[in-house]
Amino acid sequence: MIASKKLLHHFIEQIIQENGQSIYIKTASHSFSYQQVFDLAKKYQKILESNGIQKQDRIVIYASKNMSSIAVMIASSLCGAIYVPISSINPASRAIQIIDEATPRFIVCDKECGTALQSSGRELNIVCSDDEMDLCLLKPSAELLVFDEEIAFILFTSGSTGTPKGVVISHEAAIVFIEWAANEFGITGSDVISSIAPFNFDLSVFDIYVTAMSGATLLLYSENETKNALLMAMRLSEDKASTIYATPTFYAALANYGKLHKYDYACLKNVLFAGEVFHLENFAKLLQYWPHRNYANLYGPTETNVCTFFKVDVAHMNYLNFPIGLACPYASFLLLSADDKVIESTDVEGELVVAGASVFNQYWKDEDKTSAAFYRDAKHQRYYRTGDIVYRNKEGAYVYVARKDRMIKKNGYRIEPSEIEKIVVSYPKVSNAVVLFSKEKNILICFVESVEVIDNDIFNIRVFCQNHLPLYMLPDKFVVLFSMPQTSSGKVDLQALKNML
Amino acid sequence: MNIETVQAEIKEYVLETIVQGDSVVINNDTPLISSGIIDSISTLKMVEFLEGKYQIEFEPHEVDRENLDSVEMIAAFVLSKK
Repeated sequence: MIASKKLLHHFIEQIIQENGQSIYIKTASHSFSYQQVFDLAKKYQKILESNGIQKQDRIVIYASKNMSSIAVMIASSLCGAIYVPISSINPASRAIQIIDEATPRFIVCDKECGTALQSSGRELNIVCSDDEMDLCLLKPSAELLVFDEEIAFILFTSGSTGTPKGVVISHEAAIVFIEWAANEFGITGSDVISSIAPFNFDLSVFDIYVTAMSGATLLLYSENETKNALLMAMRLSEDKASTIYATPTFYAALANYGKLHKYDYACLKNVLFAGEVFHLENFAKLLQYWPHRNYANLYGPTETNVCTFFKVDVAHMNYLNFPIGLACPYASFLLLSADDKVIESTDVEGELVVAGASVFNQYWKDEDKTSAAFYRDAKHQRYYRTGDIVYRNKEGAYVYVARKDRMIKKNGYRIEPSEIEKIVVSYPKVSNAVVLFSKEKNILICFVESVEVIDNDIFNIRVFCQNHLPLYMLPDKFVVLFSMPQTSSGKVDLQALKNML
Repeated sequence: MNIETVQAEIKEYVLETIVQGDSVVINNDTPLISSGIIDSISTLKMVEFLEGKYQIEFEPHEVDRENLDSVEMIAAFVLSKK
């Protein structure tokens, strides 16, 4: 058997052999060649190794999107370590939750995130400091973890038990997707690929590594820049972006508020989207400004990365909604009924379950959650239960219908309402909390059960949430109830609450 | 155009269009963007409103919490563009 031994940093080494002087990363103020980024990664590798990093130790990266973060990712791969990106949009308390879960040997943070951690009472033992980043050594964790694969990174996502859960991704799983995507969308060294998504979001795997694999250039946009559609409209034009991969929310903001008519996008070829449903009225607006591009809907939860894709035929826009499409070559699917029977016929709804090389290894240190997440067929093949209800249409393409559970997608972000509820309930006078999402208004509503809470407390609960959750998880509206409506079996009556939306 | 009028108009817009009867209290100095009361999409909507109402045009980099984080900051910024 010939096992694939390819690791993520090999892509960079390959490009350096061919042309190390070509530009890998471009920010608002600087350009960095492949050689420069790799040299920094080698420098970090030395520091990590001289401070005793072991294979499969975790390295948390808690920083705004910058070039050094990517150098740390490459260094992590060079050391055989596992990196754990945490976006700077997370308040320190949520970052600490993730850090305590991940038990890293190192935390690498920028100055702002480092200060936030210290203000929350974390002492940082800085072993190396440069303009952008501090490398902080933690006491080695006693636990020894054994994986049967080379693990590349862990992406923490909102967890249904109220704390973030870590999706463990191997080099092999990442690479099978990267190689497919680079080939499918014809990415070459002359491409200029935007980095819109934060690094803890799986869309960034495409940005960072499809770029590296192809020797292309990555346009690194900060969290602040990507929120500003007016600025992004200008930058994507000036920076001559050729491939963009972002959420429909991002494109809708560009089309509605970006003043796209002011700029020229002659270099733009591929417009890829994922993370949520692209509403057709927003898509139609985008299409007015950007006709004749390769549009594709990519689908897949963090646990599987992209596993289906659908190329939009812009000449025949007679869709009710875009299908999520056909299986990527490395993925295989089953459709399961509510009692786990395999559905063979078309047009029948069921839960999509996914097997294949891109599927994650496990949830970080959570065997129960891991085994509950998989369906096993008669041959013991593992399929990940996506929780997405879909059907297969007559053309063989899959079409998304709804979620099976309470998970919410707001502006492309994956949100488990229980994570918000857990925070709200921990506020003194609150006895219960339920978070619902209004699709029509695109807002999160938090029902707060309390006999004592008054208007002024609502303000404080909001601030409390703000200190513990990223802003995208902050409820837009709070409704105070003396008691939650209940069903006959004594559970919270979610339907009654929904009727109040 | 006096600053009090502009502040009152902006406050009315924020309360009626963005906050929509939520129990959040908006004073002239209440942080709007950094507190998450106004998200990024609402910020863009507000910029569109300000451009139309006061006949001004924002430069892309000006759509930022440095300029727009409270009613008084927004009003001062609008007047500086007139």
